[in-house]
Amino acid sequence: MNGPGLLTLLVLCPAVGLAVILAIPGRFPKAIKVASALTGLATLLVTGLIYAKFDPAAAGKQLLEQVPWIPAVGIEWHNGVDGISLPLLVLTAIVFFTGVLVMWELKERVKEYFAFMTLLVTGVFGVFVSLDLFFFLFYYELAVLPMYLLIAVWGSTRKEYGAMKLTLYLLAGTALVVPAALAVYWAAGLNTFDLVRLGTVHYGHTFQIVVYPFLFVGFGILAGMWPLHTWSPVGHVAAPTAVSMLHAGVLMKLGAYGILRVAMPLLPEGAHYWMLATAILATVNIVYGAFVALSQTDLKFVIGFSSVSHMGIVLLGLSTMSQDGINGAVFQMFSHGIMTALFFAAVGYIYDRYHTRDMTRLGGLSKYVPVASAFFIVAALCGAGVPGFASFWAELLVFLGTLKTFPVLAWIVVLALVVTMAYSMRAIVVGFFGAPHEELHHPADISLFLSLPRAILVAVLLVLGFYPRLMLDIIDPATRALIGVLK
Amino acid sequence: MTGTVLAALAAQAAPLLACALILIFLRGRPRVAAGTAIAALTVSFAAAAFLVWQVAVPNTASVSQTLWLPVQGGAGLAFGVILDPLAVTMALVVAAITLAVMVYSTGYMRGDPGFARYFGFLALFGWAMLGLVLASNLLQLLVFWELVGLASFLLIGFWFEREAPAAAARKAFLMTRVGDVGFLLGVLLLIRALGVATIPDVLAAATSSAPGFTVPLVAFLLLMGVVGKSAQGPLFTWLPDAMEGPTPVSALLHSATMVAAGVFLVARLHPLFAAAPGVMQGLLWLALVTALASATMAMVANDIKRVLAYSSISQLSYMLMALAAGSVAAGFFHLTTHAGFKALLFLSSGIFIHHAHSNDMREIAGHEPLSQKAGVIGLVAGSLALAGVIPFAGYFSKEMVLGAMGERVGGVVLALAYLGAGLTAYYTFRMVFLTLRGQTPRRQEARDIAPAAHVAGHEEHFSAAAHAAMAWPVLALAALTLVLGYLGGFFATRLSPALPHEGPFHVGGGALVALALVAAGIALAWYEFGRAGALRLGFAERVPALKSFFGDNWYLDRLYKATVIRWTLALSRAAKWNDHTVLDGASDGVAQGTVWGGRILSMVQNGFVQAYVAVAISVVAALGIWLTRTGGLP
Amino acid sequence: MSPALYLGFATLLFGVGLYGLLQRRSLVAMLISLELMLAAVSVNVVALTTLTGHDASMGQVVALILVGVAAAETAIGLSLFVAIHRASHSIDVETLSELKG
Repeated sequence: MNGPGLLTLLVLCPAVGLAVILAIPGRFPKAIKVASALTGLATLLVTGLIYAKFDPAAAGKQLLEQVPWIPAVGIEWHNGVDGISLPLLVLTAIVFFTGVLVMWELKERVKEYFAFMTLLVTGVFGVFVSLDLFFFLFYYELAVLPMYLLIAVWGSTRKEYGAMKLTLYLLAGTALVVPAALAVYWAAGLNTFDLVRLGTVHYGHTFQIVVYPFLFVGFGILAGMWPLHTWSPVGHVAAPTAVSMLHAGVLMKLGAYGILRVAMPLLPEGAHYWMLATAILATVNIVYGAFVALSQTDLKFVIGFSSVSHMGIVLLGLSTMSQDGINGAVFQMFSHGIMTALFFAAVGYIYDRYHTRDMTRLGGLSKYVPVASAFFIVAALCGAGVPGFASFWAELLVFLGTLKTFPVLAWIVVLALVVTMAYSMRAIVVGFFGAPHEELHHPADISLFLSLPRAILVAVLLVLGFYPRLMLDIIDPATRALIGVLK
Repeated sequence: MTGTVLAALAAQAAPLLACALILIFLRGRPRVAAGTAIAALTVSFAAAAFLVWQVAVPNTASVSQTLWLPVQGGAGLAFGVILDPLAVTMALVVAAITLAVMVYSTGYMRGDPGFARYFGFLALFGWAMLGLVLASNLLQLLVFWELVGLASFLLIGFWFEREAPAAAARKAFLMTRVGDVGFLLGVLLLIRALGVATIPDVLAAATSSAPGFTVPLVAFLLLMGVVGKSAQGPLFTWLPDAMEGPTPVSALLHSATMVAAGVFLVARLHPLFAAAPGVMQGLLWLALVTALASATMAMVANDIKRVLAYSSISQLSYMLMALAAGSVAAGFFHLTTHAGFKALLFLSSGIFIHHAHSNDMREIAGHEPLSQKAGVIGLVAGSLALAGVIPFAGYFSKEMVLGAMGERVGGVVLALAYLGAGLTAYYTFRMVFLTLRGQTPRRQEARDIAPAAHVAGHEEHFSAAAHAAMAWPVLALAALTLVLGYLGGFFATRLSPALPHEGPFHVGGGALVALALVAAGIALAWYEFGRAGALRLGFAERVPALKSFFGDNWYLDRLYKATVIRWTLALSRAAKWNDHTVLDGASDGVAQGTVWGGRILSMVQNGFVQAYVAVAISVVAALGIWLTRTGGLP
Repeated sequence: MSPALYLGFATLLFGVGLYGLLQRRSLVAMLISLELMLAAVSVNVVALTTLTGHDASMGQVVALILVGVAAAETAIGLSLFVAIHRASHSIDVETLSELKG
């Protein structure tokens, strides 16, 4: 048994940051922002240390920490990372740090805002490092709940409605997940919430078939699974910039991660039984999301539905239960997280300055705010699957995996790329090209400081787009191990 | 790592580096930006020349690569460079034309606010195109294939603040994406069946039969990409619209190199395609129809760049026909000469456009076109080459194409191909006479004039240096049209050494027929447009229905608007309606139901203490009765 | 003497108290009715203790305790009513129905 180490430190980082933010009086907003940025930097550093200590060649969980917590019911403080969770830790740290920088101009209730944001991030880190089912679910809820306040207080369009819808959907997901998790706990009869030990038990075939859909749908709601996705675009639109970034960039990944970490390894027979159904749902996600995005005029709605479409690719990759598919899905979780964070950061700037996100009322922005527009265009190209950006490889791997398992679905999904291209081009050409509208008052271009977070995101996308092995070499061994469990 | 591999890497790395430098650091310093880009392409050009000199052995491909993407059930996908005569020759063509266009652009684009950005994009294109040419892996090729598409999008939409280029850029990217989807599926099928996509391995597998690997299907899917990229068949309409980009861009991307990528791909994978004869037959017919159709469109267009665009489509079809007929050397030879003379034509048309501030040939004619010496030389030399007049380059390559077709297909196809050559001469010289022998500009027909692309108000300051920057590349290319024709033997020995080769000066019966048709075409053009007192109205233009049909891309765009685009948008709106009405309605309904249920239940909570007491006592009484009935507690 | 008579009396008393509790609108009257019901319980306790065979004085002790409890309850209740009356100038339960759902 190892004592607490780096992973505990990682979870503590935002928690300590939260305490510091709460201790600073609200009349010093600058100090609060600096404290948040330092928290972000600290999480980045600790993630870097974890990355440095992580051995990609070893397949299993690493940097393990195991301390008994409530022995009577078998709850332990049990943490570890593998090639699936490490990229997501990196993702969270990057999106958190850049998210803090993006919100540098916030004026309203600064203290509460950053407090809730760090609380949310604490939960996210907790989910990604936890190997104990109890703590997994605990952190899962911790990450979901601050969302309501963040959207309802600091949001914009129909914020109360969006916040309430999001919260209700996510709680509905929890209502499916928690009973199923408890059912697994009792069925195992080991008096432990340890995911590793729960994974060694062979559950009855019928049990797996019955329980798996609960877990898949429950987690799937958070991942934006059709037809339970409608909370997500509405929530994105309502949320303030950095919350959209965290929400689409990280929070939606929690759902997919739950499927990958809890549902599939614990109930592999259930996963096999339902794989065609889940793959079809995922395909609907991809195609449907793309088609809806084609008709939207609010840039945030376009991004929201493109997220639905792209998360469909993650779900499809998972449903193939093949190595390529899952590699691609994990990679897509990472690259979509970065990409969509960039999207929202870019639109956030435009909304801040122009007070509208309606692309038909914008137009010609590239002429007046070239750099700010370039960030959006880069994100849109990445979303359209242009090579040179990370998403291309992720999607390619998913298609490859799908072609092996479900050839027909692979054809449909690849053909849908035309629609993806169409809505991306539409957003670029209508919103950023063309003649500028007369009535728009054009602000100055984005400042160097505000470009920094966006430039970081672009750099990450480009680096991985040029050399995908940087990430795939980490993911691949973990996936290989997972595939071994699934067979 | 050997010297050749190093050279190949340097040829790619230099433009990439230049692109990054320009777009990140040099956006405010146009002269430095242009200098950087030109220096980078000079490096690429030198490296490519070195490669052509070093890699001379036909039918050998040396591949050096490194693992890029791990894939299940195989060693993973390795990326690298392939060095064989085809790749290095194409690399030289690309580097040379890019360099010429860059030098020309320093004059043409002078004073444009986006000057530095323009050179950044050109360098991006140079990198992507060289990467495409030298790619050793089909997936890698696909990557660069998409990247040249990206460069094309950015360059067509370079003047993004005007509606037309923005729309044209979107159309180009979308239409090529339709083809690329097929390409992607083809590559995926290949990887799935073989576990590798390295080009020599793929070609080896094409002749053997790996399980689950159907050559015709893969060939068909890959050809979809070719059709999109090389603007053939149903997917050609993006290319005429792409002329909204700056003229040097049209010269480089949309005639000489990028659109030839499709042809290059067919040449690259020729054994694979040859193993699917049915598909090749289909390609032959498609290319034939495209060649004739685009020639008819060129006959009625008045925008000089559109005429050249249609002729590019037509010539690309000829290259594909040669490849479909089985001769890589002929197709590739025509690609090379075409790259030279079509770039020349575009660049010299750019001189006129710059001078007259209009793309319309009748407008140009009214602005003393003969005063532009370099332009006149370029236009005439290029036209002679395009029409296929001996001894200009186009004659030899077209002759080789028709000769290759004569050996293998014959019959109707060959006859129609010869007819196409005659039409080419006709519309080419219609363009020459309309441009150079005009009397007065006819302004009343100005409605179908595309606005001069670059009217930025900087023409007064247009210096002699700028004129020189534009003239020299044109003159160099004009000289090349006289030289390139004699390289037929070079291509034949390196690319198709197994086929019989007759040498450049062989003038057989076919050549005489071709020359006669060309002469007839030119004569007709002279009669209708050139001679003094000519009506300056072509035979096709006199029939309104034909003029409208030919001038409107054979109504293909209208067809797409009325069908595919309309249906897609309708589907999209239906999906949106479903989302906002059905799905959201359902969830809002559940929420409303919960609220109403709560309202109903809350009526019980009326606040009257006595009501609560009454309920409590009734419950206790009921419990008491139940307990006495059942005999007490269990 | 059988306890039936006492039990019948207690029932009658309880019924009167219940009726009063449910019928009257004044809080004081309701409290009095409640006391009646409590008295009925006391009577029941005293009467039923005689049936158990134990020392019958046990029941009387309990009844005395109940009287004490009832007194305390009345004291608390009346002081609450005074407080309520001060706040809303009424001790009518119909006007005191703010705790609605």
